[in-house]
Amino acid sequence: MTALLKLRGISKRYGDAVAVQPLDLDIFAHDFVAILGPSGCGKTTLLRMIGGFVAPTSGTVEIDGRDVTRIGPEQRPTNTVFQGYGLFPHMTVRQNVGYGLRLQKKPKAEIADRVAEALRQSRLTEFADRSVTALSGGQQQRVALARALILRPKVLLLDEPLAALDLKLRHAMQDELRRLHQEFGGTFVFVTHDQGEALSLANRIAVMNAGRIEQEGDAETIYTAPATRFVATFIGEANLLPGERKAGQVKLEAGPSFADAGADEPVTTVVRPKAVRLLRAEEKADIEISGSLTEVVYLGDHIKCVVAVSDKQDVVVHLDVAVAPRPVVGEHVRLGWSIQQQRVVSA
Amino acid sequence: MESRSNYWLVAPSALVFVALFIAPMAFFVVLSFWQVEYFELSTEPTLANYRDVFVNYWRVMGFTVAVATATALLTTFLGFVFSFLARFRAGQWAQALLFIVLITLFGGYLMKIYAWKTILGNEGVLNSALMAMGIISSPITSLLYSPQAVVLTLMHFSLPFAVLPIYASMRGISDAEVEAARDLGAGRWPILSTVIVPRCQSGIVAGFSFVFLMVGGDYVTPLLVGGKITMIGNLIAPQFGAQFNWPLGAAMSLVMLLAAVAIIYLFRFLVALGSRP
Amino acid sequence: MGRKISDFALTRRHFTQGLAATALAGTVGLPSMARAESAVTFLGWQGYDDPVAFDGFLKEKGITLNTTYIGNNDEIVAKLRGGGIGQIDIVTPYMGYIPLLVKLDLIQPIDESRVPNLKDVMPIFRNDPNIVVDGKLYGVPFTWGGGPMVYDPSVIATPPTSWKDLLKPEFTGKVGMMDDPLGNMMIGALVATGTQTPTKLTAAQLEQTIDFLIEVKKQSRVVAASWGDLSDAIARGDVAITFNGWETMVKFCADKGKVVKYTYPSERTHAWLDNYCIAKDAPNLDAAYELCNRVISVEGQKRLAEVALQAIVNSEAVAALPEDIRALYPYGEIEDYGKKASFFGFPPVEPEGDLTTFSDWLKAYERFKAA
Repeated sequence: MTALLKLRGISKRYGDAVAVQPLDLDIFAHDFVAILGPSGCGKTTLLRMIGGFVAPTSGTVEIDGRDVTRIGPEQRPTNTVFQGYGLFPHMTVRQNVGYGLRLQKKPKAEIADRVAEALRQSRLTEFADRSVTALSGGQQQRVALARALILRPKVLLLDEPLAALDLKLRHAMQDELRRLHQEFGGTFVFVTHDQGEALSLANRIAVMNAGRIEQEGDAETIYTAPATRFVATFIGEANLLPGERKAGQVKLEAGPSFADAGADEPVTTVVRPKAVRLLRAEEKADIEISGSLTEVVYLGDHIKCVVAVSDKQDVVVHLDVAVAPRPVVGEHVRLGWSIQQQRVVSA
Repeated sequence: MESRSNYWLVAPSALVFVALFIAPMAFFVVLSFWQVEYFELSTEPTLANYRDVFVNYWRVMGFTVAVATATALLTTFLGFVFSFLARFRAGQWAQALLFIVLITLFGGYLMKIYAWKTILGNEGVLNSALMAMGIISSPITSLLYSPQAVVLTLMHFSLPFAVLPIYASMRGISDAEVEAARDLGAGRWPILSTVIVPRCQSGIVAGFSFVFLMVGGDYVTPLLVGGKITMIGNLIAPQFGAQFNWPLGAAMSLVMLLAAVAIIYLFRFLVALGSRP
Repeated sequence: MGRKISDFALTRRHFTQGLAATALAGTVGLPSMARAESAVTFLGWQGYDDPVAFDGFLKEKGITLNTTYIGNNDEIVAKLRGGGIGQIDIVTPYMGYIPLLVKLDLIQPIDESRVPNLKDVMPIFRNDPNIVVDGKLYGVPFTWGGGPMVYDPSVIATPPTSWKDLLKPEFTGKVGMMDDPLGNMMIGALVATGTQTPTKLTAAQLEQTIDFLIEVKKQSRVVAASWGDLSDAIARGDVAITFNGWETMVKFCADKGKVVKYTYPSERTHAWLDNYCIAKDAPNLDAAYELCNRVISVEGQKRLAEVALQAIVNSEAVAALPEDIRALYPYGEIEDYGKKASFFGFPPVEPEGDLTTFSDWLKAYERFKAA
């Protein structure tokens, strides 16, 4: 299966500042892809290069087998939902949604039908003849989506689509986006700095940092098997244990060592708080480490414990609320986890 | 109760408006139906002044409206282009461009007029340059003392008054709107006609109105660079001076005012028509 | 400076009634400070007070001057009638206004024995019929000028001898006019109707005059707003010859680096003469006479000629002028000046038989303006 969208060696430089390092990315039809990263990582620039708003310094953009690198956004088979929506305030909802079709000079009747259908799908029918400035943020978001989707783009690009909404609306819009993706059956690419949003919406995630894609894969892989220290920290909570690999053996600064194939170098061992257990008296685990409990916090769905395993190393453990007896601050504890639940990455 | 007390809040400004605008205007309207004949002011209502306006002054008035319309259209167009460049093309230079426009406001009205005399005269900068370059062998005499010179000078004077409202309304257009239009398939011209112009309607109409009203009432520029051109202001001013025929002057002013309002409304209508989504 | 013929407009009876009275009432008030023994109140053109005030003369005589400048000759009539009698001492009207001022009983005759310098005033000015009413002198003439044809000798080697020549094709686009209603219409009347009294025109003659002016306008590139602008146009080479003019333009143009000359066409042209007049019931009569005598003294006249470049009337002062200043005006053949330019006076102010009034003139002049 060949990718619908292929980026090859694409990069962007502004003077001496590099926004995006040369990178490759494949996106397949019907994917819902999140480009995830902190602000300033180059993710919006990457999206704008796909949409045609930014000319890449090097590399090519190919959509459905056609090189569109030199083609402006008005001719690309992509449509964009902008962060500020970019709705036309001098037009009604209906006029906004029909804008693209009117530019294509479609017959009036066809435009009317397709607009009505789009409005119905986006549950905007009752607002059709209102000015867009009279709508709430969520409604404006739906107009922007309908306006872009009505043109049936091969790829729909969304720039921080939920950033402007409050928490409650954000959850509703996540459902809405998921539903539209299913109904529409298209390919969505969205940019976000919110790992929760990326995990809940996307089936594939590209994690960006400092102009590079650090890891690209499905949500579960990204979470459970982070390829880099950055990915591990950016997505979810993680314990990072520094150490040294020598001759297939990793020795953690905090004590334990274990076998791990790879080059001799300083490494970081990543383990999620949820994967760490409090070991009972006789219990064994692949990796064992001990320390004293410095903090116990009840957080509703779990209990968070902080264990100082050395002067400079804490390990965070998430315990089930049902655990009994509850550990007490000051208590000396043994921690352990299985080797399958940790990841060793370059330091 | 609350709304009633709110009305009182606008009373001072309403009073100022009535005292400084409505009252003098009303006096003018009344005045225009009086008459001065053989040095006597007669308050017997008459339409004689209006008849006089339409019989004796319609040609000068028509010419004035034509000059003002041409100047206002050209200046508004230039102001639009200038604002467009400043807003969408100049990037970090936008402030500098606007500063240049504002600085021309400081030049003073007469200084600009004399500057254009220096540029356009037979031995002026332009003719001298063209002759030095060998493009022409004798001066183009129609540069100064012509309707073109009047239009040019008035354009120079009124350009900032067109730029400022248009630029102000253009600043209200977000980059996302323009990008969205492109993204939805709009090329250069459709973006202008479906987004930028419709969004600047009020600024464009305001700019046009400023320029039209300034030009329509001007009587100094035609006097100094127009040669033998007479605009309606040149005939209205003496009615309030040497000729002391205020009633006729009032009638001329009011007819000109109505013509201006009509032109401005027509322009507004055309801009709105061209801006329909 | 003082002369602004384009602003000449005569009073109307409705000044004291209707709206003009209202408009002017506010400006009538004159300095009402407690007066010293001879605090002279002067109402006239800016600069016309300079020849009496420039040196120590006033101090020597114990006179102080309260000056109010005028914007046109109407103000003299308006302010004298609006409460100025008994307060104002000196006014400086155009000679055409003097018969009217006398008729309205606003000025008093000059006791010639109290103005000894009158002996040095050239007869053509001293004896001008406009300033003598019923055998009595009512004004002390002190400055004058005419409306010659000014031309650029580098373009026009031999100037035309008739104003009508301006209509010849060779002058098309080379003529400059001045927006001076009274002067233009008087010259126009001389040429178009052949009348010798261009202030007394019938309606038909007025139409002929305007028709002629419109013909001249077709030949013109500019109808200038001021003498400075007309000088500018000829100095810049935009026009080469003028219809109506002022001798002083020679100096204006010289200052802009252009040599121009003037000539008086055969039909003649208009001329004007400004005067010091003493208001009726002037409160400082002695001081007023001192000033009248001073303005035509050699010192006062030299000052006027050298600083303001005005033409003067005192023959002794003319003899004492530097050559270049004297050359501005035709002093040498001054006795013949009447054959070239005449002090025509003023059209009727009120209906007078079938003659057109000045307000008819201004109305008719609009046709010229609009053409």
